[in-house]
Amino acid sequence: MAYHVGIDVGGTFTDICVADEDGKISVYKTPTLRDIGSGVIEGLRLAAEAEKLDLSAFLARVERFGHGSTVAVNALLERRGVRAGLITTRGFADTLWIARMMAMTTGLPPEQYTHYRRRRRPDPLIERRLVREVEERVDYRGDVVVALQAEGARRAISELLDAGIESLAICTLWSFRNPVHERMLRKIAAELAPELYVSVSSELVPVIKEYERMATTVINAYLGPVVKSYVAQMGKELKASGFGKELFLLNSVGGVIPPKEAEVKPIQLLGSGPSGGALASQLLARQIKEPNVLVADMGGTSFDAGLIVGGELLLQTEAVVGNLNLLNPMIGIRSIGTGGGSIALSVDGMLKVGPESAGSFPGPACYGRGGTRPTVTDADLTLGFLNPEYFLSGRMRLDAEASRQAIARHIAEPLGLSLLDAAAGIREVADQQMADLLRQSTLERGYDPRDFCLFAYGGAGPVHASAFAREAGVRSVVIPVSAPVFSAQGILSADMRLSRQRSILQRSRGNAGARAEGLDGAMIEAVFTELEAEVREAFRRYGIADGVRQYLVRSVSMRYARQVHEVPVPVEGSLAGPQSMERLVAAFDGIYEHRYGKGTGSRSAVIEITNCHLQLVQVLPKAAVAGAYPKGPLTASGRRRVYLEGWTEVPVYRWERLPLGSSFTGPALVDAPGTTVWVGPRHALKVDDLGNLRMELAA
Amino acid sequence: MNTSIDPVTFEVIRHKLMAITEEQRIAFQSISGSPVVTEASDYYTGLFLADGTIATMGYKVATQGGPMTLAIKMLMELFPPGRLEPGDVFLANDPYRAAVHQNDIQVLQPLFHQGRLVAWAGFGAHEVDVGGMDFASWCPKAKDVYQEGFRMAGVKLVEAGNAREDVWQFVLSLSRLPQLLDLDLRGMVAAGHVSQRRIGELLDRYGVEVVEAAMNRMIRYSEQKLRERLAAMPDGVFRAVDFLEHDGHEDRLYRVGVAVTKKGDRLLLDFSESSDQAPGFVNATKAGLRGAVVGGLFPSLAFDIPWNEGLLQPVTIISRPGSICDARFPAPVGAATVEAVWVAKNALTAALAKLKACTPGMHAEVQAVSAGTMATVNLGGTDQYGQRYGIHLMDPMMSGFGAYSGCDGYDMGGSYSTTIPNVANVESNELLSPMLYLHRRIEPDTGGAGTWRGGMAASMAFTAHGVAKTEALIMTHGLEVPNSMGLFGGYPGSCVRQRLMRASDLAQRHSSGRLPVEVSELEGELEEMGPKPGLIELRPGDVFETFWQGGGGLGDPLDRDPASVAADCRAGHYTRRFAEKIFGVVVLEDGAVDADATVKLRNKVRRERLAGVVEPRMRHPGEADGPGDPIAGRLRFAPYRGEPWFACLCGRPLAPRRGNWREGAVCRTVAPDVVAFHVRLHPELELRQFLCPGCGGSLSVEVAEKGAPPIQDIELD
Repeated sequence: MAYHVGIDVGGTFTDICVADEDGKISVYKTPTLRDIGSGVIEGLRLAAEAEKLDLSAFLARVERFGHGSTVAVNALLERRGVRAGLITTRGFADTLWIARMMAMTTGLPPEQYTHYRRRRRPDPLIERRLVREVEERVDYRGDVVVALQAEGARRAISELLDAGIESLAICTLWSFRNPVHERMLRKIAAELAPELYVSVSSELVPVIKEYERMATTVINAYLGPVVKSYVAQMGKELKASGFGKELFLLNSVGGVIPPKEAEVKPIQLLGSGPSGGALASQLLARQIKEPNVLVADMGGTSFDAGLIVGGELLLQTEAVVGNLNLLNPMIGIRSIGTGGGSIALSVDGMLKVGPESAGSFPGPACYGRGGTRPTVTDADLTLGFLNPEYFLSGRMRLDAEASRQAIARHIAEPLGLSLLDAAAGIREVADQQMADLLRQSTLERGYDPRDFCLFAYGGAGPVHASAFAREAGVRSVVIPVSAPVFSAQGILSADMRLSRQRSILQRSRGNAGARAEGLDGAMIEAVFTELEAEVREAFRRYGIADGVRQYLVRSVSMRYARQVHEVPVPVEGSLAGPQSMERLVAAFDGIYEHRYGKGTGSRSAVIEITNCHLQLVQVLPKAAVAGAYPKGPLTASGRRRVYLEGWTEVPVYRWERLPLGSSFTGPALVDAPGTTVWVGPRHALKVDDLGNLRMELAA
Repeated sequence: MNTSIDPVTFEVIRHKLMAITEEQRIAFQSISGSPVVTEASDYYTGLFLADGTIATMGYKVATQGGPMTLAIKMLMELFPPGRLEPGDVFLANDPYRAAVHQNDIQVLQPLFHQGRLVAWAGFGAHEVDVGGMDFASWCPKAKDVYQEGFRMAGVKLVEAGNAREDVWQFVLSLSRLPQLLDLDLRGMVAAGHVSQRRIGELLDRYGVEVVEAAMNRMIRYSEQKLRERLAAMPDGVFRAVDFLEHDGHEDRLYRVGVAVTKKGDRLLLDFSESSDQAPGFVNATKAGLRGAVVGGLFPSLAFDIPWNEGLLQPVTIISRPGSICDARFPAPVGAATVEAVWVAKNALTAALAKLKACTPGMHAEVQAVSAGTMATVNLGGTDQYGQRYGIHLMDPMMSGFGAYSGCDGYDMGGSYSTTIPNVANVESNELLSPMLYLHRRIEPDTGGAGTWRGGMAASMAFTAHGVAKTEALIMTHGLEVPNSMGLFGGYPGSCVRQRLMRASDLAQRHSSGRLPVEVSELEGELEEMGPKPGLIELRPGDVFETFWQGGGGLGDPLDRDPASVAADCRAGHYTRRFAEKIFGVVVLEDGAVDADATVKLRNKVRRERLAGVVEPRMRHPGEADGPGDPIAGRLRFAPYRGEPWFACLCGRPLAPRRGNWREGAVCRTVAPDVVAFHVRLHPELELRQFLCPGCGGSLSVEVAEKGAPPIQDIELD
């Protein structure tokens, strides 16, 4: 028997997901330890025991090992990176502190924008005294205005080394257009300190925007040595326990990368949190042939929404991580502070829900851990949507009376509402907030929520999905059968993806009759050829053989001159051929107008191509997911009273007892080990042939 | 109005209305693509009731919200009921009716439901050029409004959903940068479509009565919260003045004075004590003044209350027709936003800070003046690609914020009325415009000194690059007026400085392998520029260098913790010389404080302050009884002979609570270099420092016209 293992290290728990050759998936949970490696080994030991193997025998049979880790993001948020230095162009040492004036509002909730006194700057990752300027200058064309003064540069780096830096970031103006000076600086650093960890902006993020590029390069240098020692340690422990294959780490664009790549670009790990769930969604979307999916994860403290369009996860090129700006592709997620633990408040006769959360401790009032303020989960319980006896498969009893008291005291009495209207109000407000987020996350990418199917997961998602999805205009909702272990399952299914990009600048002549005139396809092909050689070389360095089950994804960034928005345009086939650039321009017009609206593209405008991206994908073997499902008639396991506009008794099903292909119409509830699904009145539910629940929402 | 609405429905509708405002932003920003809108965020989105009352405001430039209400009311007069149709979209930008200045193009769309006018959507964006005698439409030499940018009361751009191409092309033809204007107009029209569709959905669901009730309740709620706040504040009159210099023609000084009368739950803002209107473009119209009130009052008093028209209900604005705050037609007003409107906003925030200081529980919100100016640097002409271009650089927004009573002001806090300020990257500006930056950095010694210091300002230097020449339009106020005034003994932040070095040896330095970053490292003809050089030509090698105003400080700088001063020196924010001369803190070469020397130096400065000053008008023997309640800085209310008095922290009684505390203080005129390194004064101005006669503590530092009687800044009932 061979195994595939996915490990998702979260803040509280480490999930170990094991798939065997038959597609059977087992999940083990262990507490996340301070020493993450030991926690992982402990989890693997549990898995081995369950398979009746000792750890080394089990590990010897593991074909692939995927690992989603919060090591990078935690080190960043808790400021546990290394002492880093920064070298930049003379005259611009304050760039990180100026931060385009955004640092004081980045990451603030909108309600606080107007309260200027509450603006806060994030703690800087590096000390100002560890920033050194060098004399060198490149201009917008990439022309060298002043050559790098090597002696001064050598002095600057030596001073930083004397000051005790453990890593070095190098970011000069326009280096993405001409990296000559950054390369020289790297060489000087290597001569002075061969072992020093160095991050170079033109290698890491060769794109325009010096502030974001510098911030990203500094984050990378700050985290690099931490990630390096983490993967070394993890590799050593696994090897000592008998694992002989490569460990892969989950990155922020829904792929896995080898440890060496993670060491060089630890920023790739920063957005990996939602990657697992998004990947599992993508896999499921393909299985059930839904091209456009809204991925909605409602947990205890937040609601996260992402998009799959045409089967592909939509990425964002810029992100905010803990109040810091980061320029690195990530799965595009929009978040609000609405979750099961969001606290409801009455403020001056108004009802507010979130963003303050009771978290998992003390948690909602009904958890009986000392929480006294009402949360969304308390409202769900009071209204009958949750079964107090069957929360987490009955492992935790909920205190319904505590929920009622909290809602009565904090909401119903001050607002002059009945208890039930107050509880229904909390639910309604939370659902509307989530619906508005779903709308915004589709609209701002130029899509219409009505063209999407919604996947709902996360502990609190399925009990609210039919309401917020319908409110957002979505027609159908799928609750994945593997919802509770979605993230770990996604890690199991990830392919290896290595990306490289290069900044270029091509401008068309703005000739309305020949729109591609001035664009040089052959030159872009040459860049792609170099990028491909680079990434294949990296594959070889990481010990991955050429050719088998590999494919390339290529795209260019395009925009109308004088506009700021860049649009990635896929490049299929060679750009060197006749008419190929015309086709590329037409594709760009189409994508632009789709995203920004009809008539926004300008037929006569000068078009610029600013970046080439190339990704080499190694398809990795996947565990097929299968489950055992009962046959026979559909039977409800009981009935529960649910408060809609009045009390209504509805049938309650157990998910694991629902036969494949069975269907019914709401109102109804489906209890599952980690969650409860609410099927609203007249919504039609069907169990698909994989065991997922699919709801068609009534208008 | 009287439709009752339950708290749940209310919260749902309120959230939806805010979501619609956010969707407006998404639509506008996506389509516009112009750097002012996408990178610098100089624009406005919002929803209004059918009568033009502000219901929601997006989190951008607040100043534009005030006049837009007037624009809607004006449109409804021009197009009475029955002449407005669903799908109509209007353009307006007339400062004499309803705009701050002509560059702020407003696009307004009436929103209908089942044939009935139910609301308006309003958008505004600063356009780089709207015509007029000079590029960028800021025309220093203009003598009347006809020489400035085009001015439209209200024209129908789109009729019943169909763009009126004739009108559209006519409007574009009036701008030197029609493509940019076209993009922004398209963006705003798209945002209008979104508003109509979403409001329609909301009304279909809840009905007109319920939605209107929810909107009215939002407005009433904000009004009620502000009234409650006002009611808890002491009644009295709170005054402040500010100045601007140079009207485009002559370097004359203009005064904006405000008297804030707080009575019960109402505010009266009287700007009458301001100079007569100017012959040049610095004037504000009545509509512009309304913008200043929104931009100054909302963040000052309603920082935690939703922003909408309700906040203006308790407020009465008074101005004197023919004054610089309320210019008579056809005075030029093209630079209103950054001149009279800006200065009125400064004065208003200073006066309101004094009101907050006298209110128990509001001390943390007492703030010195922030970003007292917005210098203007526009570039235009032919770019490095051979095409017509124009850019409004937002870099001058990197001014310092005023210090709070309890924390330092933000470095580069930006404009006070911009909730989420942004500036573009150096690389973005160099890509879009023929310029090469020599530096962009935090400028040392710019933040106003105080117990809590003002935020630092940034500086930049650049030259033309990639072209033989380009045009730059440069203007500011606050070069000889420290507008970012300190409060309660704090010192002002820096003044603006603008220098131009013509025909420098930059190219030779570059070719010899050097990278000079400022004019002091170059040879050439150096010109110290005045506040309004206007349109100049810039060639490669001509270097323009400038820095902006730091924020005002709060409290006596001699009371600042020496360790904080030393930390600022280590961070490069202050030079050691500044620390010593202004803060009285001796910082050693290794960055540590020399504590003994500091105590001695500070005592010496206090003695010197009082040397030779005239005795106070009123002298009160003895000391206040106990520490009392803090006002701000060294000032407090403390019992004296059984009555509440103004007193200094040292115990010195100054005046009865209802009196004028200045009468118990001493006053001296000080040179600018006593309070800062980068403060200069217009010939008609002087700097006055009010001191406690007992301890020599700084109680107030203010600018005033030479010989003008002192104002009574706090007059409690």
